[in-house]
Amino acid sequence: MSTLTEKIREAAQKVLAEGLAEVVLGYTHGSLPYRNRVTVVNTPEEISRLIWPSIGVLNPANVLHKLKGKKVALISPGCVSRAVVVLCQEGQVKRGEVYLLGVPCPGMLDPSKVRALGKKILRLEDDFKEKVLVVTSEGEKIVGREELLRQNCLECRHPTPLVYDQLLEGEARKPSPSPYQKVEEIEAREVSARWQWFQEAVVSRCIRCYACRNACPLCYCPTCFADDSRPQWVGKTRDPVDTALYHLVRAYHLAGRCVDCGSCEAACPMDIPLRLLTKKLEKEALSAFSFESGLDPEAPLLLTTFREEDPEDFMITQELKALGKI
Amino acid sequence: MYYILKREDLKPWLEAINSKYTLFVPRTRDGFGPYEGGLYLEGKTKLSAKEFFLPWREPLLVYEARPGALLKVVEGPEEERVVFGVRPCDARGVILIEKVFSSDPFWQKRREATSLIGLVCEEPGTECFCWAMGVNPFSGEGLDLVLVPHEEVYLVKVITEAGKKLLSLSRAEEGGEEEFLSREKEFKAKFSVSPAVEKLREKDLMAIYEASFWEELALPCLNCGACTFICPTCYCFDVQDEVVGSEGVRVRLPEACMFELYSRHASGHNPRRSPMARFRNRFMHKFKYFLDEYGEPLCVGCGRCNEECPANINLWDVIRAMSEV
Repeated sequence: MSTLTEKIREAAQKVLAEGLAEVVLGYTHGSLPYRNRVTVVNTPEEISRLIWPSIGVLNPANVLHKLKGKKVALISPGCVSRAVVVLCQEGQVKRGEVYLLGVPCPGMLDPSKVRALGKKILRLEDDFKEKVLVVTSEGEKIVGREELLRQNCLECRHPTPLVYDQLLEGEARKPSPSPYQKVEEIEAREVSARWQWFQEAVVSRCIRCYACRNACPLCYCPTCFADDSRPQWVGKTRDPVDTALYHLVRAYHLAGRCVDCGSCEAACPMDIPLRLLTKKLEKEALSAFSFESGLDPEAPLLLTTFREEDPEDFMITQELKALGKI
Repeated sequence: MYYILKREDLKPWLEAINSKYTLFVPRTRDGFGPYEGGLYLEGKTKLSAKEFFLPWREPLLVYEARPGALLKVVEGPEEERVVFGVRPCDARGVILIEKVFSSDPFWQKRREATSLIGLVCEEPGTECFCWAMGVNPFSGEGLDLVLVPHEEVYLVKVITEAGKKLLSLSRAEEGGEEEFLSREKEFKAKFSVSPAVEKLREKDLMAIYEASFWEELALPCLNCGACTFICPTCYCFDVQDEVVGSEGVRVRLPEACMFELYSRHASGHNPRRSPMARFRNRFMHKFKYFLDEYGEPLCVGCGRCNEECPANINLWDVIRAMSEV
């Protein structure tokens, strides 16, 4: 049985030969065992660079804007396909311009979890099923894949893409039965404890490098509110109020849109658990509107849709009605 | 002058320093903070010691936000500070930045008020290459004292009078010169300066600038500020007016040449509009403009960028391409 990497190369070769795309956008090896790199290939020789990565970092859909005008074949596990679907719904990408080469995703490993296994990580051997052999400067370790998976992969509800032009054969991870466990842990705390978590884990550690924003395939505003200087909506230093505002607005801009690809968190040089903010909003969208983003390019967007049965419990009149006062 | 400090005498020494000065130490892998007993000594911190000289927010002047009001220049910090656990690469970064900031009064004031106690790494980190950029961690450049972990002790070299005074607060005893010098010799025999630096010196600036490799290398780059903010030698800054009510403060803060806003002119024109142009600028600045202007590359080989870059841009891919044009 061939590996996912072999299947990807074979399919990429075919896609280019048949003229279904001019270039293939996917992953290649990084310069470190715990990194990979996004790459664009367009010749048969270059195709041997393509891999299916063990480690998850960036979402290659983020590079699509740099390839405008070219027909692109995109290596697409569930979250990458979903990002493209949202970009199509929002008019940023035309579905016909992107050939989605779907991959049933076995989940990707968290670079931080891998790095924590030794002083120097020398090599990884991943069976993409159960175990990873990690060779460190202190020796070899065999670790269960589940222990090393990124949190967003552990909580993923759609490892296999629903929207694709071609789906490779393979065994995907099972959809997560408890996608909101981490969010619920924070939700269960007192308001003041939640605020403290936000300040300590996120705000005080953020250096305002905007790697999270720039890594996001769905952050494409020509001028981000954080960069706008006329008027200046948010201060630019590491002042806690400004930093908190940046993170809250960034998360809200992704409400009903985020596909939980985990790029923001993986990109953060300070390892801040940023995903929890967008995951919380994903949970809200699901519980209040039964909505999941990026599953159907023809479906309307959550925030441009109104249905009569939409909950309105945030309205004062709703509350008064419930109390029988109006 | 060389001294030997037992490892168990480190904490009492830090306590003694802390009682006389404001002491900062590497507290967690994130970076430095005021000493409260905890220490992170397992390797370099994510954020370098650059923040003691180019802080995240430096008030330059205050003013009343009304027409005709006078400005008042802010006095820099005067409190004497000691920073322990500065890696020699970070200290070298301070020396490189100083080439540009030497006449800046805020920089000067911070430099005068701050003593640096260096700590040589037990072993090079995964992505370290200080030697390749010409850093000798044992030299003590930019430091007041330098400590080398050695078996059960620290070998200490005194660099300045201020360092000697700080060391007098410890139980260190004279000695250890032979071991220190042999450790230094060992290091020099094992590691050498990268030949790429010499090659870059000889290269024609425009030939590198116009080379075709930039597009390909820049493609995965996110143009975020992760590399520039964690870099111990990146010094570009922004100046902002923070006005609340009628009180205005003009502050200086770190800025990244990777950002579109950084090079955008007031007219709207941007000489580095494309992401590639901004990517190119960062490396041209470090390995050509600065090298030509000051005779040394603007890099100390700490490897933080290589470790943390989310797009896995590797500095050596760029240096190699630049030096082989």
